[in-house]
Amino acid sequence: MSRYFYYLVFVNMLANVVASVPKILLAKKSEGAIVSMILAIFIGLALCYIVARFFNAFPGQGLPELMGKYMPGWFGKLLLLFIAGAWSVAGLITLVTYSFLLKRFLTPDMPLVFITSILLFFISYGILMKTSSVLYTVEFVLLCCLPVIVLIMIKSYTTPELEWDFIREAMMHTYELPSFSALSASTYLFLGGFNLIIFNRFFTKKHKITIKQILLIGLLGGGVLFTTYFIPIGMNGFEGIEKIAYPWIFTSDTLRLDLGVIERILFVFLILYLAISFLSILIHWHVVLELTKSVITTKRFKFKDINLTPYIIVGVIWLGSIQITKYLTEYQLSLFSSYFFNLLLCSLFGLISLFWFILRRAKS
Amino acid sequence: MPFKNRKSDVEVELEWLINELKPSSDILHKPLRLDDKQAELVYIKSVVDGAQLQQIVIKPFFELASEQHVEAYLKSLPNQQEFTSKEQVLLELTKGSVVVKLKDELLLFEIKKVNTDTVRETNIEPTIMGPQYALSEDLATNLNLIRQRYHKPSLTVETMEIGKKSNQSLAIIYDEEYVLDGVLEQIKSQLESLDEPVVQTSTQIQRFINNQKRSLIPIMMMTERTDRVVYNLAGGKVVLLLDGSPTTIIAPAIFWDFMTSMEDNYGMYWVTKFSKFLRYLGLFVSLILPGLYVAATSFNPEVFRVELALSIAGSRIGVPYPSFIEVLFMLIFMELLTEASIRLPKAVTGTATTVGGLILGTAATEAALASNIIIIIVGAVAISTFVIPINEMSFAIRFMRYLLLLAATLAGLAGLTLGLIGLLMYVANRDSFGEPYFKIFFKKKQAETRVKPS
Amino acid sequence: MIKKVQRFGKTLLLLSFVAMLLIQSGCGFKDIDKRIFVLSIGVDHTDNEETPYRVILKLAVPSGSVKQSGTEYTYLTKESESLSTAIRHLKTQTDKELDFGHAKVIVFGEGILHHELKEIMDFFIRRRDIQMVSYVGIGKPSAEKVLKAEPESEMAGSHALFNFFDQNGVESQLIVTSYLFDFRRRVFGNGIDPIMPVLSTNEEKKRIDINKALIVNDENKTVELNQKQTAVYNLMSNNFERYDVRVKNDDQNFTVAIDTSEVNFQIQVDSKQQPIIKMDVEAVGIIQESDRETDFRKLQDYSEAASKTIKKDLTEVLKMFQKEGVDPLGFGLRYKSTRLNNNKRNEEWQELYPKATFEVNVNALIKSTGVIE
Repeated sequence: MSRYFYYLVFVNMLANVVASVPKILLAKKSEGAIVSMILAIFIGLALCYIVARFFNAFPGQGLPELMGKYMPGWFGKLLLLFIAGAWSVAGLITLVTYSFLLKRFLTPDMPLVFITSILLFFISYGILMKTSSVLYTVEFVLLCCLPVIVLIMIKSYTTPELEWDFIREAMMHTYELPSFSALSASTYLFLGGFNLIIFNRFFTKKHKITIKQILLIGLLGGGVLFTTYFIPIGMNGFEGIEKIAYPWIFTSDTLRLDLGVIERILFVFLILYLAISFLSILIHWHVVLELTKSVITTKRFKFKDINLTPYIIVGVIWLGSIQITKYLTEYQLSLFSSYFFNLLLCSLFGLISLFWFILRRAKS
Repeated sequence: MPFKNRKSDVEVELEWLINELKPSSDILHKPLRLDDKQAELVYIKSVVDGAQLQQIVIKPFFELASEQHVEAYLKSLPNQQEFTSKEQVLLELTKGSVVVKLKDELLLFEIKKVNTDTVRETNIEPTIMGPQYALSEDLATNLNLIRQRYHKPSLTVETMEIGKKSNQSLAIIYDEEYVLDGVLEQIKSQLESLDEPVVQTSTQIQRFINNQKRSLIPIMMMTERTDRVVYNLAGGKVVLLLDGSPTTIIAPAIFWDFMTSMEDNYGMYWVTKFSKFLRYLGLFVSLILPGLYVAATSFNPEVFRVELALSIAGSRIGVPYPSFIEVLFMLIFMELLTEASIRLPKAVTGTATTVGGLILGTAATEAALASNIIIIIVGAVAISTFVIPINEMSFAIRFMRYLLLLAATLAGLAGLTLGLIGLLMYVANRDSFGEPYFKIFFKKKQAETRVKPS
Repeated sequence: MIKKVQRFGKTLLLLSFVAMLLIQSGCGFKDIDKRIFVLSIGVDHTDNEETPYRVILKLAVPSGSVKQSGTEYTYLTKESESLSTAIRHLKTQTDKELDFGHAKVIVFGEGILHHELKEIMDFFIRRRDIQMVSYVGIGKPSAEKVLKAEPESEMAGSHALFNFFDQNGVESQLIVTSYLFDFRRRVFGNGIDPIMPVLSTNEEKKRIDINKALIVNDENKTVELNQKQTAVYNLMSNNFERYDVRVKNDDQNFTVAIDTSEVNFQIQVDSKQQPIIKMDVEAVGIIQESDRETDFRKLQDYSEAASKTIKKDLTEVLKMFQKEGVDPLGFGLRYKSTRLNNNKRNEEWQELYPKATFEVNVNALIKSTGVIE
């Protein structure tokens, strides 16, 4: 697989460490979170493998092109719009979460709408870029973040305050039936590969998909899941952990770099996650933009040879996100994200059967 | 063709040439006659090397026995030029050629007088190791310099005229074997469609064929170093060389090219890695430091250590303006200082820097117009800007700094981070003649400079 | 002409956008010299039931040159019904914005511990700008007195209390370091009890002593540890690897300085009646002081004597914990974390702990007799 595929998967994994996923998992800490996570690794890897295999069969073509070829027009368009809707919600969740976070921790005196607008301003530029440019940006930012992620990982596993007894206490809850919302939330970490529906346009060569590569993703995902769930418990205790609004932000504040330039890891973490959330939104909404562009092909939105469609979509995104950030509360956000994850996991099986259908059509 | 007709044809052409050039006082039309030998010379005195003309054409004319001998001799001269049309001849005359009418034929010889062919020492990109001489301002000399460093039959030099009025010659140099055809095509077509009356320097070309009306970052690299030219030719790039300009431009150029100094190829592995690291650090520092100061003092003083927060707060006591105006104020003065020292004669530069840097800085803190810490920051920023080896890039960075300052002023650390990502996206979204401008290369250099499939 | 208008319009649009943003930025923009930094927070109990909380803030007042004149401190005090109302009132007492971002020490007065701990802690946890890595301690005789004490050694720009807790400054076996997040998880968690250092000051307020610790159990009962017990606790919890032990042998008394130690414990419940808490101690040290000449060849004997003493010390403290019904080491937590959850583990342990017996194995190794023999 091309290295850019890993970036897509990895960004999605990392971005959700800070968002609602740990919150949902920790809420289910004594209702089968651990079993759900283990199950999620297998389901996630299977989904990852399927999507990679499928798009590898059509190098250089995104889902819109395939739909156009093998599906009746109106049905394909409807489906694409539906997918675009799902993806825009995915980006929106990250956006709203991070806006809340910024408001709470980094710039508390700033109005929420202003924070969201600043984020949107840069994202709008980003999603209008070429697909390849998006990937180059993702690669560079991710590589810059990697040392910091490793540092935080090392720090959190080696700090003497990490109480393994709390972690073991959490592990004693292994024998419980899995919970669907925990399962869907943790499977969501592995779904970055589905961005191929647009980004496959960039992968013009056929690649080999080996077991090793899938195992690598599994290893990374497992590590991320383990860290996401257990480090907050180890630092903040098993009881009362579900009461914390942002488990990972809270946890990062319990780490301290005695001799670092920045003493409180909290700020390093916030900046790091600003970058990673940005990438996640960028990827998701770039997909949304491209999907919608492929659906709306009328010549009406034109002004002196400039196709206005993308700008109109960006405008809609602005309006929608600002309104939603204004009215959503933190509780609603986590509730809706949980619903979204559940729904997404169900509809993914629909998407997979669509893949199967296209594959069969293409063969005949 | 009948003899008589032809003769008049030549006469007419000569007449036409003289008439075209007539009003100038430095045009010379000189008939030579001895016994039955006769010839006519037409040239512009101020661009032709008189001594050489005397040596090559006039003296042999009188010494050789007959017109046949003269003709044979002249036609064997290496600096004879092709004769395609009378317009072309006219153009060549303005560049320093001589038209000789011998018998019924017009012969064209290049006997230029060039006063700009002295090879200068490297001035813009000095290095400790590597060649110490740069280019001259004469195309032929420069071509010679490059050819002498790159001996390969596949090295191709194409020339063309650019500038609707000035008609400067421009050489397009590339290695046939490695050059990317798409890039070459694109450069050529853009050069041909160039519609400018006067082109003076090669850097101007870079601005004209940039695709974008307003651009911030250079997508072609200007250099005066022959070793850089050769290094890039070998990498399959196209080099443009304008007559009368002591610098070449190289295309396509991507971001990493601008951060490479030629010494990176000459020094020891770890030494060059370290200096490379320093350079990127300098780039980073000069970009974010002003913004970081504003973010840390006005939005998030809790990010850094308490001692630092207290000492910044202490040094800001009495400063009347908010932090971003303070930073802007000192930065602008620093920029003015830099600009001044570029424009000033070398002898005065030292004084200007001392007066500006030392006295202004101390006085500003004494007068509580700026805090001590900001002086340190501005100093650090100024130094680290100069670490970037290619000037155009460091000028671009200079500008980007203010964008980041603005972002930090608006939204603190978050703004700074987003601004940095925004700049990154801007850079990543550019391409240089179809080559992605800001892409990370993991493979070895050999794999990246592709050999053209044959 | 149209083009010109367009270009002009574009520029105007951009300019107005920037101007709009600049006006907007007034909200978050606050220069550092308009802020005043809170370095430590103290909470005392008043006898007045209407306004039970007394909040003391220690603020750093920056001065022009930190090196020459140093940082000066100022204090704000307010009694109120809740912590946040107190802070709101205190805000009006300064001309600058109170910034809690650097508040690293939280001192509770002893009286306040009779309140519900979760309630007091809530304010500090909930506020976004108070660090989770702040140090928590108990002030004696009151938090206010401790905060206002300015030890002679307190240097310019560095807060003495920070240095006490920070492992970069003073290192001592008598200082228990408790972070806010650690305090929180111990308060919330069953089977592990919060422990905090006791900061005491004398009347002249020229000295702060931190050499004792205080444990609060689930029923809000407080147990104060003396110096020796504090040192033993630090050893057992692996907080601090050093431990000085005075060995009283038959013929010879000497002090051993342990510099490396590791303590592990297990809980064995074979029969419900008699759970065993097994503790293994590995300690390595040298002889620091002796009243007689030491013999190089008798190191083995010295080691054994030291082991015996350490074992005695530890067992004493453990028995004391058991008697008082406190559990700062987390035996209950260990019990839960090694047995599958059945939702009754807490109750089980409540019954088992008073019946437990302790088995302490000490393996002390004295490496050297110091520079002299």
